[in-house]
Amino acid sequence: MKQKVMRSLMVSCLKATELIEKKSLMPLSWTEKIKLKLHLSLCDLCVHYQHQSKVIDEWLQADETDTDNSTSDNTSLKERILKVLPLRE
Amino acid sequence: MDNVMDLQNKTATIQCWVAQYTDTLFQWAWHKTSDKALAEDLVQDTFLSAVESFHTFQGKSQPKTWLFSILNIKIANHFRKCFKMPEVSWQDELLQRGDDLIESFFDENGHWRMNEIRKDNWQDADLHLLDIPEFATVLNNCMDKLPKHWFSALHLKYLEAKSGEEICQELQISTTNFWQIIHRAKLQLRKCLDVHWFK
Repeated sequence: MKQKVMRSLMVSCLKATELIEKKSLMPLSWTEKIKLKLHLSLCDLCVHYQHQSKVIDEWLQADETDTDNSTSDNTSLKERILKVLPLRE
Repeated sequence: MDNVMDLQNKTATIQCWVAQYTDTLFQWAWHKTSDKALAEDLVQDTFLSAVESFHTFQGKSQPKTWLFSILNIKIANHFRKCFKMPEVSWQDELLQRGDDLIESFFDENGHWRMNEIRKDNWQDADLHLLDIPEFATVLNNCMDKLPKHWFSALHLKYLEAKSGEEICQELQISTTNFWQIIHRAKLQLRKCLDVHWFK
């Protein structure tokens, strides 16, 4: 019985990495939480994946808020925009 | 008389904004979409909306902040549209490319394949890496290589402060499909960074 329960809680690395991503989007159910915790306590590779996933989150999050990019010259675009804008002189 | 003044004021202000902010707005839109022509259209649309809703700009925020908030809505709308009118449906992309990807990373029992993940790299991986221009370029290139819908899904996840459920509702896809797309996108992204940066 005990073995059966354990086996049902053991998930593969594929499933564990899916749970890691799911967790970043929505709350996990309690069985999912136990499955992930159990897997991570036994699998260094997935612990490493979790680290990579978190860092990627940080990079992409920072990237979305950093609007101060280097500028370029877009003279023709400016002229085009001024032409189409419904403004009266 | 007041109306004439207002109109002149509005025209002069918007013209000034076009001259001042087009460059940064365009850079941003291009960076987000990796499509020059599209970026130009999005910036133009941003100014069109700015003219229309000029009366709602009350000088409480910086003009730049206000314009960027309009542009970001346009960009998010574009990514959303990708899901609604796809040339290749997101289901096909998830099934075909996703399955190939999964097979290349995991064996038939769902365990990591040898050398697909190593514990001895990514040690120095943190926010500071973004300060290295070469790294930022590699990250961008890796984002660009993602299938279209995965790219859009990742952007929507970070671009707007919305929950997974809200995004799924808007895109009319199930939450399971959404986090599966995010999962596949992240797997491919970290592989690409492994190959091109962490080696």
